[in-house]
Amino acid sequence: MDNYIVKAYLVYLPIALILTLIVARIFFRNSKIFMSDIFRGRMEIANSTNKLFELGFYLLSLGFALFIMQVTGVYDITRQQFFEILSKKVGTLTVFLGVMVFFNLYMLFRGKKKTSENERLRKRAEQLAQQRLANQ
Amino acid sequence: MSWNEIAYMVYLPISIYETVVVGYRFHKHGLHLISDLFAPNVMLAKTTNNSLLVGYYLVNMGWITLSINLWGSIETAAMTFLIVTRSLSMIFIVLAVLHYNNIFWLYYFSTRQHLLKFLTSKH
Repeated sequence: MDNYIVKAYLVYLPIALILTLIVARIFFRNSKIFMSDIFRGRMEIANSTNKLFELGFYLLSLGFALFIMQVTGVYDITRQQFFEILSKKVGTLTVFLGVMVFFNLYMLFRGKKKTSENERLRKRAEQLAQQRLANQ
Repeated sequence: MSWNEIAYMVYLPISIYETVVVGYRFHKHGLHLISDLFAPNVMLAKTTNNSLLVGYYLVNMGWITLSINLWGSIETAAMTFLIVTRSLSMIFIVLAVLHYNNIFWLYYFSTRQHLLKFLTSKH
């Protein structure tokens, strides 16, 4: 346990887990409102979709966090390298989490756009049908 | 106790717990989406959901038991951490890819169904 690599792993793991947990909790608490807007108040399916996206976020983020954890090429590192490697890994994970959050936001905005487009199309079709009835 | 045995004792409970919990949640929340897709036919939605769960468990358990065979002998603490987290991360990433694939197909079929309903309605 006096090896700095093991210490780096032991410091990195809790940071990665807690960071992922906090980001996912905050993001998916707020995305619920988006989901209820996209599914037009059908809360059951909105909550389910939200939970499924949350699970996907957790799986991908935790998988990435554990995947980038290993320190390669060296058997022992100095204290300076310990801090450098740790900051590099935490930084990579944070950037990845940011990209994931923006990806999920993109999907939410896309869903919102699609729903309003569909509603507009439906209204337009109803209008046309009524016009046709009136002309006959 | 060798490092290999410690790695097994850490890896197996975590991965099996993860498999069961994630599978249960997918099964529980995916039912709403699938039953929305198979609209009036509830039994078809339930059977599809159950067969998806069985397939998920088979793939995951097979992956877990196979990946233990590929480890070789572990000699240091750092290597234990590395191999256990690497195996776990591969499980998580493959699961995430499968999951997003499922979401994509659900989305694809539901939009196609909505479009068909829209086109075949009286307007």
